[in-house]
Amino acid sequence: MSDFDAIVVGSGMSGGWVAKELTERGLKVLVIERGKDIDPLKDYSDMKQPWEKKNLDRVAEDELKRDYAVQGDVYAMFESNKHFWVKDIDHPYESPEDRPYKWRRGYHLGGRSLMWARMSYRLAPLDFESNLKDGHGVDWPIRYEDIAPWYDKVETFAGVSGSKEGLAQLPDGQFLPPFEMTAAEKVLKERLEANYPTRKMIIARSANLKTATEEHLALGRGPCQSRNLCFHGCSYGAYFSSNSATLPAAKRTGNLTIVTDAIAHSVNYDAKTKRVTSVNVIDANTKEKRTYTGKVVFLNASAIASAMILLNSKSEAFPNGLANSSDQVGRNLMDHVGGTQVTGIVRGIEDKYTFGRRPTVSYIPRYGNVTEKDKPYDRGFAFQVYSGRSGWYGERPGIGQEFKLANRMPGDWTITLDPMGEVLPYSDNRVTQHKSKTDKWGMPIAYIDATMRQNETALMEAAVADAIEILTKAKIEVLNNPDPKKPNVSPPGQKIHEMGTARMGRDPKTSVLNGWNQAHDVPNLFVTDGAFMTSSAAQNPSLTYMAFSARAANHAADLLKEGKI
Amino acid sequence: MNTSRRDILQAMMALPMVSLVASCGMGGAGKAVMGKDELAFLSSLSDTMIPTTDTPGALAGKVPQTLGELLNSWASAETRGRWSTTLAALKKELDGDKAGSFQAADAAERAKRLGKLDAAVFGSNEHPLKAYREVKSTIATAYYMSEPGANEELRYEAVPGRFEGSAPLGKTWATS
Ligand SMILES: Cc1cc2nc3c(=O)[nH]c(=O)nc-3n(C[C@H](O)[C@H](O)[C@H](O)COP(=O)(O)OP(=O)(O)OC[C@H]3O[C@@H](n4cnc5c(N)ncnc54)[C@H](O)[C@@H]3O)c2cc1C
Ligand code: SF4
Repeated sequence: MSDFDAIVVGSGMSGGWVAKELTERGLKVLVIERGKDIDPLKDYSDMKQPWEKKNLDRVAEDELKRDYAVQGDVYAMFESNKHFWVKDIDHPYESPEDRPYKWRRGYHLGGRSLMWARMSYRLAPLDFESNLKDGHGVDWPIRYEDIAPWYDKVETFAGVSGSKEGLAQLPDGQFLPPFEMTAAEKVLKERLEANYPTRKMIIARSANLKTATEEHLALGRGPCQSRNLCFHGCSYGAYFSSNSATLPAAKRTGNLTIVTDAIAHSVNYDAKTKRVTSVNVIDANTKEKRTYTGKVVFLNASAIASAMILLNSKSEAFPNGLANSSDQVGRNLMDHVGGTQVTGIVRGIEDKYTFGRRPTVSYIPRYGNVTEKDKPYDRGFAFQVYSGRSGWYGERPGIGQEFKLANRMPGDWTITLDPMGEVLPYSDNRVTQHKSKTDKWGMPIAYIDATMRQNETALMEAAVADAIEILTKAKIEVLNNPDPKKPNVSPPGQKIHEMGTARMGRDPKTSVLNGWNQAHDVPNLFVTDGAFMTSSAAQNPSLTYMAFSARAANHAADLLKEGKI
Repeated sequence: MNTSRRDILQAMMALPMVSLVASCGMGGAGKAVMGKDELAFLSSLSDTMIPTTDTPGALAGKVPQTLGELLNSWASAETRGRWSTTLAALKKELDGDKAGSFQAADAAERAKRLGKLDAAVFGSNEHPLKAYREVKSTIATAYYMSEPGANEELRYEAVPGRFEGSAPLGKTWATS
């Protein structure tokens, strides 16, 4: 007899969904989480006023350098929420000297669903066909139609605010009302769309409850108050996280057990039944070892961590790691690529300002190789668009009353285009087990060897040139004038969208998972975090992880019911 | 993925926020804690830079306390050392011929001296005392993030409840 019907490793964005769906189907589920429990009352800092925050909310310099060498420059990390980020000193990994990888993580209940920026986009039909068309990577085993109903389901439950636009490259979904654009965004939208019939600017689609439905209210979630404090946790439960939404839903079924401070070490495989049987765990505090048995195992530790668990699960049948007969586990590591931001001043709207702090931005969906062809790159990029009036700042001349008055009224409206491009799957962008080094718990640390390449650079070159042209044609004066030949090209990991390390595919020889996120080699093993992604598309990926998680969980529940696994 | 003032400014001026290292060129040795005298000078400097007018000033916003805490518990010994060097140089400049005269002077005289220094530093990119910019920027941040700075000098809503993208013009919001 198994301890549980199902074991889910990881309680973050994807694991929360698996736990919710499986428990709602009546299965007894254990969630294994390596990090600590989260208590909103103690751990959220959204109720602190600016003047109550220690050291202007800056993490002490020595501490930052010593403990947070990788996490330290994430824009969403502050003194008051630093406990949401791993201490790099405790969680080492290595990369080649000349190819740094930025692995941004939070180990606690809810994972990075607690700190994410909530941008929620569907992949489009064309994204599921891109690999087949241009030959990079392998073909996705499913198509948009297969996942569309699951997008509907997760959007409705999570609560995604957005506008319907009818775009082929960014399918509409089940949206709550959109947030309003700022005056500056409205100006750019109008001029962009007049100047380029092939381009659109829309309000970003964001997992914040612009309004709350009965379903949201029943989980104790309330509407968003426009405070823009989401990186601190939300006491209103107004943005989607495992903590606010999926785990409470799973708990109320009475079928959920959570163990925190429990590090999944490996998964045991029975060669006779050709099934996985149990998960080995190390207690994060006492280092004591335990094993939990389950009829089905879901890995949701996030793309790199799940690959590491598979690689660490060696047996006679799988000497190179569980479900790794294809040798694809750990390969094809993708992220998105970021580049140079271009900023301009929008004039003629000096009589307008904002009220409230909108927790989202605007967005120019991808047009390259969609509505505009013959680009010097494959795939494409989108722009996130930020705007606002500059507020007070210290580095301006003047003292006394003059200085005070200058800051008392807002300055110029500025608008910034921030590109984010698709990254191709390269089989040697890869995570492996470090040959000699282990962490405090005796587990091999990750060796991450990945780099951006020619196509990613070409995307970011075009993004700089396009952004300058977009603003200039819109008669918006460009403030910084970056050289399109020398764009920033973000190192992998920087966009915090790691994926692809156990890709889906049709052929067990070249992929790890089938079209149901089920391991080709092991029918009762599923991976539904970003590891399954066969290509990265240009969209922020988490909504896609949610939809695939819900779909795979329901498929697994069907198979269990039918006695097939 | 945010529109903080810091990002916009950085984009506009391509200046790193913590620009002291790069710009001051007078990196001193490390320092364990800020001295009383240094904090007293910082207090005088804050008060002169952001005095009480029709609205509360830096002292009402407890800026000297915030800066003292920041320098002693946020800053590394190295940063503290640099600040120490900068403050000494600023003090020397503001005191002119007579040590201690800046702090002893009345508000009008202090404003005159600081105003002159401020204009000189902002009038040139290569001023020897350009580390003053960092000190000023930190004082300003501590002030505008203080309760009177946010609520009385500027505007602050803890819970706006809604967002409007084309609202009527009004005082600067303390946070974005
Ligand atoms: C600042 C920031 C902004 C972001 N913005 C966006 C955005 O706007 N849109 C978007 O789509 N995405 C965004 N992301 C990315 C998003 O957070 C991730 O895509 C998403 O959280 C990944 O889900 P996951 O379930 O794979 O992993 P996670 O949410 O990271 O959860 C993994 C969980 O597994 C646990 N775990 C790891 N290893 C083990 C182990 N060995 N044993 C047990 N448990 C383990 C971890 O502690 C964690 O709780 C952002 C991320 C950050 C940090
Ligand atoms: S902006 Fe909305 S979702 Fe974000 S913390 Fe505030 S109330 Fe919560």
